[in-house]
Amino acid sequence: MEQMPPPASDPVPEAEPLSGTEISFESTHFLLQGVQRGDSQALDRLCQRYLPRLRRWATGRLPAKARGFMDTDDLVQDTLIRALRRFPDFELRHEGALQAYLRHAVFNMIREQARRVRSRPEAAELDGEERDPGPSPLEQAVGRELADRYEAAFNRLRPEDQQAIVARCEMGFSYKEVAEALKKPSPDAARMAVSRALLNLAREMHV
Amino acid sequence: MTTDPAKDPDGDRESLLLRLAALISDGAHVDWDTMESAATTAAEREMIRRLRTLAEITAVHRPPGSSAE
Repeated sequence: MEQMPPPASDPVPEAEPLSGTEISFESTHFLLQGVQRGDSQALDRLCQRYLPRLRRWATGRLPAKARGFMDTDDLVQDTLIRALRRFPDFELRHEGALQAYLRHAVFNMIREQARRVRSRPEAAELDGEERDPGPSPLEQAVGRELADRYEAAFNRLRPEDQQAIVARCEMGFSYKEVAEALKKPSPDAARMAVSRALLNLAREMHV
Repeated sequence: MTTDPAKDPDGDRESLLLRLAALISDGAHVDWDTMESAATTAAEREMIRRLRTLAEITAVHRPPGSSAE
């Protein structure tokens, strides 16, 4: 084999930029409690952390015809705010659980948007049938069948593996942030956890 | 990759797949065609194909210029 990839235990590359919105787990816990008490500054801080990531994730998942139907940014923001206010504080064992919860909330919002596009009256008037909402960017990249297999496989993973994949591969957090979110002892340990989660996901992607 | 028959082939395969998964997580470039053609079993080739799909999926979500290379 000509080129061997570096081992998973290699040190984490140094060039990875840290986001300007890093908040420690303890801060997240504190801010979430603030949100649930109605503290608007706490809400702003958590939105600053999660909104850009969730918007980018949603853009990759929203069907083509749903994108022009509603303002995606507003929908994601509304979903995030509602989810943060509803998130049960006792569930916050670590931040990875919150990230997975937010991903689930936005995923449900996208499904609802796709359903609305299919059932729009003007769509039904044109052909008398439900309208296909069109492919999402993700479906355009790998095809609908593989996108569906990914989601089904993801849902079969253990919560720990789901959280590792959401934090790193879907939300794009740095390894330092992933370590904090998943309570791993180091960025190297976080990288190993994400790698193992991806391998488990690949194993689950059977037909 | 070792060719020593005394070594555990399952362990080698697991190690290779784990390294590929780490590269996906890093957002690093992988020559998937080469990796697939170098697979020694059908099962290994299938796992490499699935990892390739995961690399394509994670690329959709990754912010521009955010790879860890």
